[in-house]
Amino acid sequence: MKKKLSILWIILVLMFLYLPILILAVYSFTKSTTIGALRGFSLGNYRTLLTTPELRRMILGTMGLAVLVSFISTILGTVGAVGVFYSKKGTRSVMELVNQIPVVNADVVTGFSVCVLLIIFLGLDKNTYIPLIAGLTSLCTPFVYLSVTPRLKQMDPNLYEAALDLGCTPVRALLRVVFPELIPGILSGFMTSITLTLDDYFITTYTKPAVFDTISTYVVNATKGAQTHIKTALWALSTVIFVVVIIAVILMNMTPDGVNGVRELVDGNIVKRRRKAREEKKLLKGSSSKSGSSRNSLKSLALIMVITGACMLSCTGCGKTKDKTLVLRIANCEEYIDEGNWDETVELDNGTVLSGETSIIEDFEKWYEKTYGERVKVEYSTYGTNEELYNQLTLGNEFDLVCPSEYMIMKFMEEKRLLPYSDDFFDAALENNYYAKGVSPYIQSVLDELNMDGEAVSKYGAGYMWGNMGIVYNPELTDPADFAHWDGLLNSRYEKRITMKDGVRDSYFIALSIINANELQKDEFIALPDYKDLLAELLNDTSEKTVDQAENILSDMRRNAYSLESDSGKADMITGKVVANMQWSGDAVYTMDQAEEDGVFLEYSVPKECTNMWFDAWVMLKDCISQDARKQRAAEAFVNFISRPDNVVRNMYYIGYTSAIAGGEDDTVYEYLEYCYGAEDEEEAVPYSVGYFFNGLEGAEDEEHILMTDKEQLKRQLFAQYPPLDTIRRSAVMKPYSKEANKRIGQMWINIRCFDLK
Amino acid sequence: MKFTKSKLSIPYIIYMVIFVVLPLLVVCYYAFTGDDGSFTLDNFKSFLFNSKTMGTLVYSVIIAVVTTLACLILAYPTAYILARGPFRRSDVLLVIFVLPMWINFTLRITALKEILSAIEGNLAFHPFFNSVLGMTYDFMPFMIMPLYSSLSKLDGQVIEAAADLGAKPWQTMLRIVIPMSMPGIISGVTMVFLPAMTNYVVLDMVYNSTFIMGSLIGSYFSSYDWHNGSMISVILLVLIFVISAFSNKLSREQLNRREGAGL
Repeated sequence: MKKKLSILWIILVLMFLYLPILILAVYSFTKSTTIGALRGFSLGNYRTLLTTPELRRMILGTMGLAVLVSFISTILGTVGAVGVFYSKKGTRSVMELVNQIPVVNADVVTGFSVCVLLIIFLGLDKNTYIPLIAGLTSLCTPFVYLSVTPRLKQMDPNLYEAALDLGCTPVRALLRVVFPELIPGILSGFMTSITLTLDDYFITTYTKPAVFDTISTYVVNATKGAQTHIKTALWALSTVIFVVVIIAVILMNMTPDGVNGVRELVDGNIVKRRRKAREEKKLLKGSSSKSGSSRNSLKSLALIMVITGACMLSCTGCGKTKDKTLVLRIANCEEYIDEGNWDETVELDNGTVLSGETSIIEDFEKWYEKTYGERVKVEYSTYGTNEELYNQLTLGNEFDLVCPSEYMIMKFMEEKRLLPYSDDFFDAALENNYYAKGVSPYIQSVLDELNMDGEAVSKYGAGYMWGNMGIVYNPELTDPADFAHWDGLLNSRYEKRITMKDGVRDSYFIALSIINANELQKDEFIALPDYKDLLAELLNDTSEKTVDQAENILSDMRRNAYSLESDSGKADMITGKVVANMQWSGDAVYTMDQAEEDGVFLEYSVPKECTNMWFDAWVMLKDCISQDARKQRAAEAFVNFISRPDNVVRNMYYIGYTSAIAGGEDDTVYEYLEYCYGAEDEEEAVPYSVGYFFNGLEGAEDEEHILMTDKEQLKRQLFAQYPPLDTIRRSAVMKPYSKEANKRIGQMWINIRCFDLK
Repeated sequence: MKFTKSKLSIPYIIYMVIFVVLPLLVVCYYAFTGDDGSFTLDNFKSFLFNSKTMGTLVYSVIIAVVTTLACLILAYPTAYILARGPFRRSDVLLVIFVLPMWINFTLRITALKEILSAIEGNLAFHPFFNSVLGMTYDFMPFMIMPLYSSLSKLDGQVIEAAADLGAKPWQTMLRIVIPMSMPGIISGVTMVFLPAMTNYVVLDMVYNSTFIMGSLIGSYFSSYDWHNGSMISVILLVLIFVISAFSNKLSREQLNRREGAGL
């Protein structure tokens, strides 16, 4: 009876530990994208895992980093342990104490403090990888120290003396007598370091260069993203790692010596958070058989050294192949450019055919070499939000060309960080100046009007995408009328089934709209001649009283919401987990497109009060381009290349946002609109004017750009991508906050992210 | 210069000072200064007198306590069965229990989340339960290990003696086994409690929660406020210090008592 109970318990706990991994493993061999119904056997996930360059780079990068860090830590920790062991008692106890710090400290604090010292205080560049390696090494070294020290204590102190007496030099005695005795400890230290590095998230995230990802940081980002094929490829990765770990453990258990190996590994791991060398000593005593094992260990140590050496050699090999190619460092939002690999071809009526096999970046490199006769290598990296970009730049990441939103551009302008575009760039007569030729007159006028310190934003920024903010909702599961106003997000009918953006500015804007809802909808207010200015003023109010009011509204909203999200909302809308989602227009288009593939029809609403109109534009950073004419030419050429009408359509097709480019003489962009939204049923078609975008507000009434479209499109993609004039009218641009307001609103947002005891 | 073995410690000492001691000093410096670089206690005041930030502290302590208890309740019988049960200290079985530690924790949490979403649908309806479940799932192996090693060292004759002297099984458990495995419990508790207070990734991945101390550092960090971020770090450091000192003291007392009892 007792025995049966024991077995039952063990099985239950094992199920708890393993069932999720095993279920995921089963699903990784199918076409399913969520756990639920099993859909057909497929090795697609494994193919994606092996063939996606981004995934491969991330996996190899993680392994390389783990080996490098463990190698450094092992040398440092072993030599240190020997040195400290033979030091005076005072030094020894101080070092033992210092050694405990990274062991017991929270990893978040370790990572943050290394980041603060190296990057903020000393201004070191993250791209040198020094902060990353130093941070991880400082975590691993103490564990190596802790696994070597007990061995030293066990060792017969007379051995070393005897070697000296027999005529050895001290160095030789150390190498030939002391170190061989330590090998099991060194090995287990090395393996502990590998495990710690492979598993680390916190130190890595604070110290890594933007272009580099380890498995941990990658997975955290990817599981929130909307790219399902990447998400399911990670199931495959988890299965692969699981199998590798099992094989490794079985191999180690095959030999009697191996059992000790495993034991030591386990002990090594356990050393984590363990404070007393006393305990370890007991553990080690219990587990290690001293004789015989050291020769085998020596062999494996040699093997590890060889592997490490090979890795390092291949690394330096990579470094050497770099020639004088011009490097252009571009940072952009995540999933904000065509990355290729389309599964369909787009054929427009004017003969343009787009198949999207390769990424825009690769195409640019080829085009640039052909057009300008110079090779350029684009180092492309991404960031989540404007604030993150600002942070990265402040922390010493260097980029030549970045794509922030209008308020961030204004902030950069205020800080005199930007380089204006050259005069040539705006010359529409030059053949390759696709931007000057194609930018929408409407967008151009808005960028011209936006000012910072008397200078127009259009001088520094080349428009990329633009849009507004609204609510995507599922008309089947909600009452659409609820989302004609921003306070629909506070509606308790949808408790925990709406999401809000994890962005302070967007959320604050919405709070302001709710506070001023009555005023904003008054006919008299709308009829005022300076309506636009008053609107902008109301929605840029950062007084203390307003911020307090906003905090109350937002904390109610947070309580009502499923979560704050930065990317996962799209996927959650599609699966139906949430029914309404505060969303930028472009993401809304993407969400609606994806949902339609699953037969779910979502709609987009721009609340009656007002909306935030935003622009993302390419800007060049002065410090990084630093008067390098070649770089500036390449950066401007990049902007022109992605403004070429066919590339504009590619990007729009891929990401769902609306380009700031209308195309000028070229009709490709309008053709694309027809392609997407032209009415399927001529009889039911309704007219939809987009003239303002192609001709500017003055020419808004032109006949040429009235699209005949399906009625549904008035609430769907077309409405989101090219808002009608009355929506344009009630949009306001958000200005950067003053320093003082920034602090106030920043604290307000931190409060929102905190747990409310009420 | 003559070679002595103690000189070998120099690179290590230098490294530890630069990358372990110095960062903490800089964090302390930032925590006690304002934007203008002058000494101030405002950062701490703004934490202590703000019900929202204190709310996060309370919430993460509660989550950490419940997670630790959950781990203990699940891990103790497991470790006991492994060490003293019908399997007779099978190494293979032990390895099976700690093997998940080698699988990247973000991948394990992904797996758990997928399963939970399939079962619960909307994870936000049971935020507390899901947080605790995620953390328990992640940290349990770290609890099993120290419990196992202290339980397997336990002298079986003492248990037999207790039974011979008429103690009922539950009495033996309560008065002999648990007190004697105290060092393992203490070590396991510290190994689970501290990460449970700071590991914000588990909560973030399970249902985008930010109600944890570790997340606060990130919040301040992403609004480029190093001063307050450092302030949170210092608070965590103090907490860690207190907990370590406390558990050190506990296990020392335990040891003394045992030695006093002649065990």
